[in-house]
Amino acid sequence: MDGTRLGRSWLVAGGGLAGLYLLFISLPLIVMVVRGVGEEGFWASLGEGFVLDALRLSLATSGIAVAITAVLGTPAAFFLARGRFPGHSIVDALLELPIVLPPAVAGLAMLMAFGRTGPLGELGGSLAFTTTAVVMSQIFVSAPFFIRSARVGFEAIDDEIEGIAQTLGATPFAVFWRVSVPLAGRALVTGLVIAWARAIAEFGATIMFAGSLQGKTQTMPLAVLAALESDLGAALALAAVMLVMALGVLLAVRWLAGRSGADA
Amino acid sequence: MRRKTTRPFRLAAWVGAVVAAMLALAACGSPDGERTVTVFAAASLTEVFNEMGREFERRNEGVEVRLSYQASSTLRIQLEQGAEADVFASADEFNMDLAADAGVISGDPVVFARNRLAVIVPRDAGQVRDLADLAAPGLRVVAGDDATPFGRYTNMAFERLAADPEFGPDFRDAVVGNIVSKEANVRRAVAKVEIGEADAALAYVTDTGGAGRGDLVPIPIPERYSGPIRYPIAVVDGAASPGLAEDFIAFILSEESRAILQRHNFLPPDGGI
Repeated sequence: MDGTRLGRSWLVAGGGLAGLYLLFISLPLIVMVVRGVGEEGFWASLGEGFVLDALRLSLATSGIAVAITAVLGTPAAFFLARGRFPGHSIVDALLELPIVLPPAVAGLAMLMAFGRTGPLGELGGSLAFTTTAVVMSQIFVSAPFFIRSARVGFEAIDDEIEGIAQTLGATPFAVFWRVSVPLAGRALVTGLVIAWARAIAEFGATIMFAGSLQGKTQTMPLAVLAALESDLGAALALAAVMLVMALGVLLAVRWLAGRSGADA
Repeated sequence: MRRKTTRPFRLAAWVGAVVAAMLALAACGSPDGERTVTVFAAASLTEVFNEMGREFERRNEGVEVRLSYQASSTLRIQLEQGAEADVFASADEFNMDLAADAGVISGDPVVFARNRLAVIVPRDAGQVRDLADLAAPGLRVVAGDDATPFGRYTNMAFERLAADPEFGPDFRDAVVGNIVSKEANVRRAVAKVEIGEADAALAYVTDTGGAGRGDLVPIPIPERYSGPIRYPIAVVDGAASPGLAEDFIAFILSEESRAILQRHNFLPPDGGI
């Protein structure tokens, strides 16, 4: 009896706290969109040059970043899931480091490494302030999210299946490409979608390493900041577009996860 | 059974203790009272206002000056969104007027200094020796975001340079093509030259004077191109310490502080260059 009373009061208190948290998250977003739609020039600013440039640039750079992440990250995730090699835990930590590292620190580090004063600069090259720098910043901060998801996907595969494929004469690459990747497919796609969303949201490393120039390095988050000081309507419009995209990504991931749940 | 129930409680106690310690630390940093004056100042005023702040504290026992430096446009937006400050010092009259229109300052702003636009370059690089060199192909130039005062002055200067037959539209287009980034405030732009990632920054002559910036030199851009660059200062509407705000502004306008401004290469508010 004591237990049920404790259970009921816990439900009430817990539900109240959960509701408070939900309000904390949703209220600013709702107010921002309502303010934006009410702001003069909200809709018109969606067609403004710097808004369209930022949208185009963000979509292009994040697309390239995700493609490169898939190519480089899939083998990395596979070896992390399968391999038992010396220094495994160090590599593991290193690959996850960008998740907890402040993006501004990542940007400064890349500026030092790939800028004019770094080792690359000694050879006369520099990637700072280029669109390439935007893509690199996005890969740096977003790839770990893909690797994390892909690794879980590979770990969930029954090793026996891979073993059988190998005894049937498949080469290690064929096992990886024809067996492991398809079996981990859903985890890979989910990881790519999350990495893509994180790449679009990237701000701190980009502004450090790539700077901010319309059409070249000014992605959507950078444009929101720049617009805030001259055109609140445009800043709110861009912010609303990013909010809708982020929400769409999460719903897509839920849908993918739901399908895998139904299969299991 | 007993251990099972105590464990989460012990964890909660630890988390609670850590959070409480963090809150206590945060509270230590903000002992609010009547004896603090919060000054929002343009990024280009960083060194000179640091010195002014220390001097003002020395003269007023027990008073603390809190300084926040950003682009004047950023500070103006913060004030409009309800940021608490006592004094606003802008690098242009444009943002001060916008602040006045928005009703976030009280009384009339007073101009306390002037400045000059400049091309900031490394002392020993030698790639850029005068204004005309800015058009050199492949040069990496950083400027200000269009909303910031130095970005606006720069845009104005290049429109007028384009109209001047000595330079012309081709010069303007070449320089604009050389701009690799438009930074959020003047110090970030100059920092890109300082670390060697950019060849030149479009900033103010005063942006080379600070500690550690001794290796940078300014190439002044004449006022006939940039237009007059005036710094107005005003009390913020609803200031928590309006009396101290008035005192601070009076100090900024005093003869002593004029000497400090001059030492940092700012120009007096009136008179010739």
